Formats: sequence, C-alpha cells, structure tokens
Amino acid sequence: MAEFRLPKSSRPQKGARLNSDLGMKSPRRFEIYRWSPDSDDPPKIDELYVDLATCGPMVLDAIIKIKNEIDSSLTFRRSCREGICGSCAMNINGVNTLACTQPLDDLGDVVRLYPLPHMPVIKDLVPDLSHFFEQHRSIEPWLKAPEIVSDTERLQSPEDREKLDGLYECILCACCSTSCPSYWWNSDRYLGPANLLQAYRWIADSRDEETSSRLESLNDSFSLYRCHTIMNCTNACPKGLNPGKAIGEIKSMIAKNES
Amino acid sequence: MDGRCVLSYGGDCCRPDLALNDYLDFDIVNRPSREPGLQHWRWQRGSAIALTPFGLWFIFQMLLMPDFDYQTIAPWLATTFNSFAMTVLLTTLLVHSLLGLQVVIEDYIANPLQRALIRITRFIGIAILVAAIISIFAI
Amino acid sequence: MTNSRPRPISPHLQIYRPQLTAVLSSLHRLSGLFLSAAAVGLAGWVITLGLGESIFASAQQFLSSGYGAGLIALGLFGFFYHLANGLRHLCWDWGYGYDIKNVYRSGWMVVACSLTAGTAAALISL
Ligand code: HEM
Repeated sequence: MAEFRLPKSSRPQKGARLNSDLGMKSPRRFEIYRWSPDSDDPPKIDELYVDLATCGPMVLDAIIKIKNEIDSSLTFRRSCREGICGSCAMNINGVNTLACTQPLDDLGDVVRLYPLPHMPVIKDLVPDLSHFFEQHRSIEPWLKAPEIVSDTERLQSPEDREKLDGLYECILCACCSTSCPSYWWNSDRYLGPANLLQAYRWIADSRDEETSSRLESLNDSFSLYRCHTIMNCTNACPKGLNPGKAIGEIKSMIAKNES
Repeated sequence: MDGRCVLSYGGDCCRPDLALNDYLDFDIVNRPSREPGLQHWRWQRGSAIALTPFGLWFIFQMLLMPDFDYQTIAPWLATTFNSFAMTVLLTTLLVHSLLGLQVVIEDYIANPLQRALIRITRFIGIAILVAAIISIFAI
Repeated sequence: MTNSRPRPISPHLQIYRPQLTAVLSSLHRLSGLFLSAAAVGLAGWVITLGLGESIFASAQQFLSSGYGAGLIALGLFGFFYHLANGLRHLCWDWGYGYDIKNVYRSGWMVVACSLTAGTAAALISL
C-alpha cells in the first residue's frame, strides 16, 4: 500500500543549531537530516553555518568540513570525490545528485541535505541500499554466453560497442531510482530505473546470448511496467545518462520479441 | 538469521518479511505474483490511439450542437453513423479507462483489496456500458 | 552491533523538488481519473436519453447549471491535456523525445496546447 505521508516516527523534527555564523566571511546555512540508531530521538533537521571562504567548491567539501570542524558524528558515505564511485549520492535541495560533483555556488542561500528519498535510514545521510543491490543481482548483470566459441576474445564491432555508450557508465549511485515516485511506492517489486538501465546494458550487448530470456523475464507487470515515463530519473542522473530511454527500449524490444 | 539481512550492517533488514534465504533467492523470474505486462501496455496504447479520433469527434459534435433538447439530441444519436460511433467511443473509453484504473489501483493499493477493486471497477464499467449501448439502440 | 531500533523512512514527496517531469505525470493521472468519472457521466447521459424525454430534460437541466457548466469546462481542459500528454507518451513509446531537453520542450508544448484548446472549447461550450 502506497503511503504518501511518512509514518509518524519517521517525520523529522526541528533539531539543534550547531554553530553561529559569527565572524564568518562567507557563511552558508546548511539544514541536515540527522538520525541515529543509538539514541531514542526521532529524525531531526540540524542547522549550522559553513564559511565558504575556507571551504572547497563542492557540497562534499562542505560536508567533510562540517565533520572535521563542527560535528564529528555526522555520518555519510564518500569515497572517490570525483563522481565515479557513487557513494555520496544524496538529496540536495530537493534533487538527488552526488555531493562531490554538486558545486555549492549553484545552490541558493540554504543547502538542505537529506538521505536518498524513501529509503530505510541507517544513520544520518546513509540509506540502506541492500534491497537495491539485491535487485541489481536479480537482473544477472554479467555476460551470459554459455558456449565457448573459441579460445580468443569475444569480438565486438565498433558499432555494437557504441550501443553500450550511455549504459556502461552507470555507477549505481541510486540517484535515479530514489527520485522515481513509482519506485517509492513499489520498490518491493518494481526494479526501478537504475536496475532497468543495467538490465538493458546486457540486453543491448551484442556478445550476450540470453537477450530473449532476459526480455521474457522482464515482461512482468511490476518488475518493468510500473514505469510510467515520469522521467524524474533522467532528470536526476548525475552522469547525464538516460534510464527513462533505456526502459523505453526494453518495452519496445519486448513488444518485438513477443510478436 | 530469522529475517535478518546480512547485507544491512547488522540492523533490521529493509525487507523484514523476507527470511535470509528468500532474500538471496530474490529473483525477477520466479516472483510469486509474476504477471506479463506487455498485453496491458499494448491495449492501453491501442485504445488511446482509437480514442483520439472518436473523442475529438464527440467533442466537436457537442460543441457544434445547436440545441440540447430531446428533439435535437435523440434524432442526432439515432442516425446509423452516430449510433455506431457512439458505441465504439463508449467501448474504447471503457477499455482504456479500466486499464488505466487498474494501473492506478495496482500502484497504490495492496492485495487483496487491490484485486477486489479491479474486479469491482470492471463489473461496474461493463454494466454501465451495456446499459448505455442498449439505450443507444433503443432510441 | 545489533541495534533493533526500527529505521525511519527518509522523506520523499515531502522534500523532492516539484519538477515539470513529475508534475505533468501526476496531471496525466489526475486527468485520466477525472475523465473516467466523466465517462461514467457520459454513459449516464446516453442512458437518460433512452429513458425518455423528461428524465433527459432533468439531466440537461443539471448540465446547464453552474455546476454542470463548471464540470464540463474542467472535463474539456482535462481531455485536451490528457490527449496532448497522451500523444507525448505515444511519441516516447515510438522511441522519440527521451532527451531531457526534448522532455521539457514537449512538456511545455503540452501545457500550451492544452490550455489553448481547453480555453477555446470551454468558451464555446458556455
Ligand atoms: C477521454 C477519455 C480518456 C480517459 C477516461 C482516459 C483515462 C486514462 C486513465 C485512467 C489512465 C491511467 C492513468 C495513469 O496510469 O496514470 C490513462 C492513461 C493513458 N492515457 Fe488515457 N484516457 C482518455 C483519453 C486518452 C486519449 C485520447 C489518449 C490519446 C493519446 C490517451 C492516452 C493515454 C496513455 C498513453 C496512457 C498511459 C500512460 C502511462 O503509461 O502512464 N488517453 N488514461
């Protein structure tokens, strides 16, 4: 059953003011979602200021600065700091993106940070992505070509290789899936944009020999057809990929495959 | 391991209703509720394409109608073309909106209420359609 | 490390920025629901025709009242919006217009077309 409202215990309350902007050259206000499994508090929104004059250019720089200088308990994922690992995906001013590639200059006077939407929260900005990755496993993201044709490489023409452009770059940050209202309401059965783009990455691979059975297994009213072409996914993708289009390709390939 | 997911940092699994074994068996092929989606999708598009001319036809007819008393409307609907066009319009309308309502219900409402509501909309929709078609040809 | 305190669900609708993509999609759904109700109304109207002149006249009396005219106008806007956005859906299904630039372009076109057609039709219907 779709719950449009948050359960009572999930609704964020007003939190603490962690510092003041006194003496800051270029203060920027931050409002950050906090929740800890180790206290009995409900989720809350803490407020604080960061001096952008002494901070790097990206949202992730500010978050690291906050952890170093203001509140060492602030919890978030980060690794590569250059948009390739997908760890620091979060909701920034209402839109899902990577904190490490989001310039602070493009945001307004207030920077609002929330974990990826409609996810179980482990702590602060860290969502539980295990179901998301379990769904990824379910699309069997590997080359399926049972016959060993020869002991050389499986060759692919440059044209066939080009079909994977815009697909293989996906870093599974989950920005798109967690921007999708359909995934919010039905993530238990709907695979969501990221994993459908991943599924299409193997469907589109000329070397894969299971195209037909992959399509058949996606011809399911919930796994695939919960997509209503809302296109929040493509709007959100921090890598500029187009999951909405990939899903459309799967739908038309299923239509051809079954006719 | 009852209901605990090894992947989720020791806390409760995000799907506490699944035991660990089910969790690792999560499989898009063997989902219990598996139901093909292509047919539904096709009929939704097909009925949309049919509704475009018939819907526009009806709206233009109504906008151009000089008067809305019985003496104008009844003979208008009684012509062969208009009564057939109206029947086709109402039928495609029913197909398209029942399929549409089904998606909305499936999106927001869980079983068993979901199946019940879909059946109820179908039953009511078909009953109304039959009554309307009888009406058209009774004039 | 087995803390069993239930995890909260992170905010979603409450915090996600309304974007043209999702807003037009919700409107497609809302207009579809409204039109489904209108379709029942249309069938009812046809049924009153079959039931005879006096019943049809009272149906007509409601339709020409302020409420009736309002519902008809709303239905006309809903129809032209759902039609325009439905054609946009069909273009996508045909494989066209998925670039985010085109999604926005076609989205605003749908808004413009349906407002124009809806206004014209609603004015004529009055
Ligand atoms: C006038 C009567 C109509 C009614 C009562 C109606 C009703 C509906 C409903 C209830 C839905 C489901 C909404 C949803 O899933 O969000 C829907 C979807 C749809 N309608 Fe209509 N509709 C009508 C006319 C049209 C027309 C003329 C078109 C022409 C192109 C059209 C195209 C579509 C499409 C493509 C969808 C599927 C959208 C999706 O996949 O999410 N409809 N309609």
